[in-house]
Amino acid sequence: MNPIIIDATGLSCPEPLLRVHSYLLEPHNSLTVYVDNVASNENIARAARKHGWSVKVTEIDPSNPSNEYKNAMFKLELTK
Amino acid sequence: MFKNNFFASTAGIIFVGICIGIGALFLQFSGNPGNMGICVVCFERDTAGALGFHRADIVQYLRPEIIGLILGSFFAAKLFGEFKSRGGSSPIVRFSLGVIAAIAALVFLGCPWRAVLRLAGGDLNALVGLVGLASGIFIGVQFFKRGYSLGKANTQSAFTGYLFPLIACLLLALYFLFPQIEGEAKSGVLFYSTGGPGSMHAPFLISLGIAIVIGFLAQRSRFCTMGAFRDIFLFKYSHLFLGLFALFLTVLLGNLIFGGFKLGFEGQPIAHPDTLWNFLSMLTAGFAFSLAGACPGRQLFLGGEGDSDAAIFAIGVLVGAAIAHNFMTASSAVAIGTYGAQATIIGLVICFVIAFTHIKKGA
Repeated sequence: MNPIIIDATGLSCPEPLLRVHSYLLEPHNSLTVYVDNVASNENIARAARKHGWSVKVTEIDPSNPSNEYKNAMFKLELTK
Repeated sequence: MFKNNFFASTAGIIFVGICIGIGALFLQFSGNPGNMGICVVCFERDTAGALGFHRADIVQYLRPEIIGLILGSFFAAKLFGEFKSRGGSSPIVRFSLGVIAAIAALVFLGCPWRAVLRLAGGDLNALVGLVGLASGIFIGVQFFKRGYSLGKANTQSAFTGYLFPLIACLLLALYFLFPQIEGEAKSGVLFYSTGGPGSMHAPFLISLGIAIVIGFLAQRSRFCTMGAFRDIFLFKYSHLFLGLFALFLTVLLGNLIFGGFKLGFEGQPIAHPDTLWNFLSMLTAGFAFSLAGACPGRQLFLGGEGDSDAAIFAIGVLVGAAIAHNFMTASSAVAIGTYGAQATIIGLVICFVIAFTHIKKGA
């Protein structure tokens, strides 16, 4: 399965989780999500763990110009 | 950061629900109106009255709860590094949804928080309202499933995010400049009710203090009454609902112990028994909350942490509450307002138009 990258920055509740959620129910083995707020980070991590995914969260500096996802604060790497 | 946030856990959200319940009970027994320990829409309505935006003389009081909820969230967001100035996601739509939500909620006489407080006091009209609320949210969820989105927000200048908490501070300053004078309907520029719900309030600093604590906890836990239902319909997740249910049980228990419980439809405090419009008004309000992404309480907390889209919704509620009284759409404790039914239907139609016109293909 190809790794899937989802840019959920700038979106407010419930849209970040909504974009990720259908993938969580499928047998993808790798999912990378960028979010720009702590609440979305918590929501996605909580939902992913509930569906048996392991979650690795990396904080990223939103002001770093090399940050390819504008304003992203967290990179969530979900694997199953 | 996720691991450290106790309030994001199941135990955390239940703890926050219990705390809000205790706070609401305490405020009610300290002088706030019946089954209205805390009500975001009612208190924004009273605030609009205090500022003279409407002149219904029984609902005018600069409610410190609103100020406290914003500032509590602001403190939490600053302390935990979550304050972030952001906005620009369809502001005029969010403003309109705030106006509609306030007008509709004032036909029922309460936001979702008060609906739960009313039910916990035995007011069965609130059960009708809550079924309406859930139905409205269910309709909103159908649009989210089809790609409804108000679009992305952007990071804004730091000052933009500070404006809403600053407005809260200015309101606080106004109160201290023009405090209530016993028996007087006006103090400087502020209006004060001498009778009716607006005259019933806990001591100012107690209200402010409790609201700051609630705002702080709600920011940490993301407590949201609309999200409680939405997440069940959309994701089958009960996380937020557990918080709301804990709030209900706490207040129910408190009312049973301290004698605030009276089961029935008739003679309930600041409520009318019009079943059809209790249902339809909360359906409209629930639809508007879901399209805007949060209940009126959560919009205040988001505004406190720098989200100016949420702040605009909250200001929409303030304006909508003023319209509700100026245009005679708000209900009294006896019956719905002269134009309450028409306003509810117009609001519902506008919500449908907003929903249909914001479905983004391929989202």
